[in-house]
Amino acid sequence: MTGSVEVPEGNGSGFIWDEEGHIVTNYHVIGSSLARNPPLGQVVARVTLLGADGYQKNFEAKLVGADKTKDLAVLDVDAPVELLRPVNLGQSSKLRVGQRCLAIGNPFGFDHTLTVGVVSGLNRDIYSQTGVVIGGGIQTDAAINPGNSGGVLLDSRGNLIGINTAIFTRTGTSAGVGFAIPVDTVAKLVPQLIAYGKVMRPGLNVQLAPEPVAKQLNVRSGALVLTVPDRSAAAKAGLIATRRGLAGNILLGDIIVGVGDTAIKNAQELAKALDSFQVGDQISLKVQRNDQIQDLPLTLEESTR
Amino acid sequence: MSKREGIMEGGRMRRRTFGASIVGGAATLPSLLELQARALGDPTVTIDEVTPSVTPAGTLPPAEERTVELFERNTYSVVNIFDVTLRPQVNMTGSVEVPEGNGSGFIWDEEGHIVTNYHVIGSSLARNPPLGQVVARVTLLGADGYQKNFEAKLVGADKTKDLAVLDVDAPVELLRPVNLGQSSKLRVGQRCLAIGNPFGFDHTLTVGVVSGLNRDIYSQTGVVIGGGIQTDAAINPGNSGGVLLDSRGNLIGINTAIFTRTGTSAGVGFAIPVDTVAKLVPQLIAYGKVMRPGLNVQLAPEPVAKQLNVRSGALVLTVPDRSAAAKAGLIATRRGLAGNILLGDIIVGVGDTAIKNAQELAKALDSFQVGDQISLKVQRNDQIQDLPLTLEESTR
Repeated sequence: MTGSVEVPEGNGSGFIWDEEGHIVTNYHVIGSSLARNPPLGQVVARVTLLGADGYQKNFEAKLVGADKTKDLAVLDVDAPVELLRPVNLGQSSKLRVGQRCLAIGNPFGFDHTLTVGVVSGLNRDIYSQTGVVIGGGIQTDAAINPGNSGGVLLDSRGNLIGINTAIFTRTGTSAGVGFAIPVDTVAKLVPQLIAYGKVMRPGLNVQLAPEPVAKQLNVRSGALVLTVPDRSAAAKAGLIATRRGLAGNILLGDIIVGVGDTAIKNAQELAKALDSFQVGDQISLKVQRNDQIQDLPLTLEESTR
Repeated sequence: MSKREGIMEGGRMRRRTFGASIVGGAATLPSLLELQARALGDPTVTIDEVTPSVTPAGTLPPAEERTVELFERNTYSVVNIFDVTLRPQVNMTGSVEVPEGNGSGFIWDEEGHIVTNYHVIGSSLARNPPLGQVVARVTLLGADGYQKNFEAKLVGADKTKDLAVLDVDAPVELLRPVNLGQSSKLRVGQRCLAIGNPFGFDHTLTVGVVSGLNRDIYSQTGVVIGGGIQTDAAINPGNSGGVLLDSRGNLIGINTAIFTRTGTSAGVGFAIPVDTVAKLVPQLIAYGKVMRPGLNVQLAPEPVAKQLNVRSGALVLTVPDRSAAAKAGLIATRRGLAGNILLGDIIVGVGDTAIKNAQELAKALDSFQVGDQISLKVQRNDQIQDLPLTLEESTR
């Protein structure tokens, strides 16, 4: 009975991204299909489109790409173009608390339901099903229920500001606290899903010490580097791994304490900081080495995880 | 529309054909194969091609702009209150539940007084701390966007009306008091904004309307708080003690309770009206308690009154010596010489308000203040008499 950020399942919603027939939704809406690791191009769902004549038309949807971490998936339907009306993308960076927002989705199977509310809060952490945090979440008091997932959150001009993804609930139904992935994140990731089938997540590809290990090694703040793969971007930048000294003692590797101007206290914060970059970006990693702080320039490569 | 020149692969024919069909009418419906996703297995697709354009955010319509500004102005007045001894609970029966947990409060004045619900710090207060003791931690939001934490001392509390006042030693630039409104002028249907910390999501705004007025809120002592404002703005555990504002940004109530079968919002929330708050908070600040007016007489509980055949009104059992009631000549129930019970006065009215039982008497007296003169209507020996009486402070 503890309250938790629950990511509702069941009949889900999605929206039309472009006139090619791409449909964007949450990963968890088709999570059951995706759990079987279907290859790209396989049919994973059925999608119902609403025609201008008021009739619903059913189509098979193929998997184009999916990212479990950010709870996003892209499907494709072979539908005539007159049925494909894409949403207009808005800008979530300009949102302000108090703005009106409209949610359209299929709560409890009631298709094309409109609920209305305001932006209740910004920059909320949404806990996706993998336990990874999706940052920058938009909080709304518009009624979001199971079935709304993957549906649109619009501003009062009708532009997409977010994808309804999760609710805070003790009951599984709306308590007036709903969360949407901001459109700025969606606009960055969906083209990658369409072009590559996956998200090119930037990463250091080093192994960091889990918290109990770090504690035992007396590392209180920062992310301790355990291993650095050969020929990785981190190795090229000169990041030093934890290793054993000649006497058998443990020599601590570099402790990452910052990325650019952002201070890093643990592995999770590091992941969140790297998330705002792209593969190929050059960053300045602040590491603590032998009680000194050093700046290591590093070019981000694609995360292998 | 934009045509993509120089792209002549089969998968892209559809887009060009679409463009052509509008311009030249020389359209052929693309074959099914060409309609398939271009990207699937197609390595030449670039990110740019599949990125739709973004519509820049324009200005907001005036009504939304007002709401946004109201929030931006008033959010600094709302604080987060932590009672570290508290554990959140879920009440499984349908009842007017008074939400607990991380709570909210708001800044009353630039002296650092914070007003909240008694039950938000109920766990601390249950230990009967002396006035001036630290009972909670309060987080204030600075103009720079950073939260600053302070110890809060107890200034005064009233369990019956579910109110408490704390004091923090904070610099004056962090203390932005709310503006008080008038709950007597409220009308059902007015827009209202609630700011609080539901489930720990700090400075959350929810919006609704005034759903009803003059509702009875059942406080934790079982005593009724009258005149409650009912709203459908989402109020959840953590919203307690937070503000309910009208569309001008004035305080109209303190969010206090919700009706729920689940422990979370069902669109039925209740706020203590600001007129009550404005009357009681100054007393809490000045005296540490509410000077509740009372008769200080013992009234017969309902079973006893029934047995003594008193159907309507509040039967007086005992009257303390030298009390205001004694001075007014109120007569208690006593035994006669033969050992029989002689009924005391039965209070049947206060001024123009008819009284049917002890609860109604308490509610009627509540609208007065200590020192007020009232006219008590009593039934004595089958006659109705008017007893003028000056209200003193209730000792209960």
